[in-house]
Amino acid sequence: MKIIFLGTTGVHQALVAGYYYLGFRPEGDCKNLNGFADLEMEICGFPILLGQDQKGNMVYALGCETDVLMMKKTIEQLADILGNEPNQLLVLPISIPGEKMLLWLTNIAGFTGAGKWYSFISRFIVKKNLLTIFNQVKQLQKQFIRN
Amino acid sequence: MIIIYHCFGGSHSSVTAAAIHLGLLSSDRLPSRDDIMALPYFDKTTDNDFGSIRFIGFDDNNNAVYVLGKKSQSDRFSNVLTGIAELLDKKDDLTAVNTMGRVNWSMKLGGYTSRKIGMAGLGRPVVIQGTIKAFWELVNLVEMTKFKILNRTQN
Repeated sequence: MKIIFLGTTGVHQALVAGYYYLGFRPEGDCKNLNGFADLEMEICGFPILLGQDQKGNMVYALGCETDVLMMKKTIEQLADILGNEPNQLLVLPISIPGEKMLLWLTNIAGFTGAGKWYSFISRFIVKKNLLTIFNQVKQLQKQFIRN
Repeated sequence: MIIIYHCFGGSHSSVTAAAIHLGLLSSDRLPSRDDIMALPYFDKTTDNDFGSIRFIGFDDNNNAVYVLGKKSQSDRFSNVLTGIAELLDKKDDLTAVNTMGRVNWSMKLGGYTSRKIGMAGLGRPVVIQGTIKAFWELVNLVEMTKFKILNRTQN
């Protein structure tokens, strides 16, 4: 199965949630998380492979800009149209306060280039919301096990 | 293969491009107002249609043609769709085409007035006029898309 953590950006809350799901804990302001606040990865738009969980599921993070739930619907429909077997793709939206701010910053950084400010503010916003992210992952894991 | 034409609302430029692709609109003459209004989904979508991939028809090569309204997603949206197809091992089965580059101000203004504000009587004539104005550019986009698909299937 492929598991996609979906956020307004793929290199912030969605990426942290994916790594948390895989058992990595953010240290030193998320510096240990490969791809965190990586503008190039974000701009290209492809799902970011984070690793494989204990059951062999591939775990990804993906940014979808403005509307996370709309993108979840699109991805699930696309998987259906492409003839994907049911339960082979799981899309898990992750939402935090400040996610719109992260998106704006990413858009601005897309024009100006991602300097230290981008990394600093990204870490600040995500760090403030780590508990929210962890709780959402735990909640999703419970649902996942139940189903 | 499936081909998805996508624009802001999935209601005007993507629908017109899909119609040109399928031959519902002739690509060698300008369509009339009635030709455009007869298209499925043209200026008829609601907020619930955002994010829905809607089937329009099969082309001569049996490719399925769809339209999609993506709201204000940027140019990377095609990559998002392609990326999803790739991780499902279906990369070669999908072509995503952004029609927003062919949208003019009349289409934006008319589309917003008709769909967002809900004043179709006011916005529809403007969006139709804009669509007729953008028609040859949309024909060009469809021709390029067909050429790309042909290249891909031959390789």
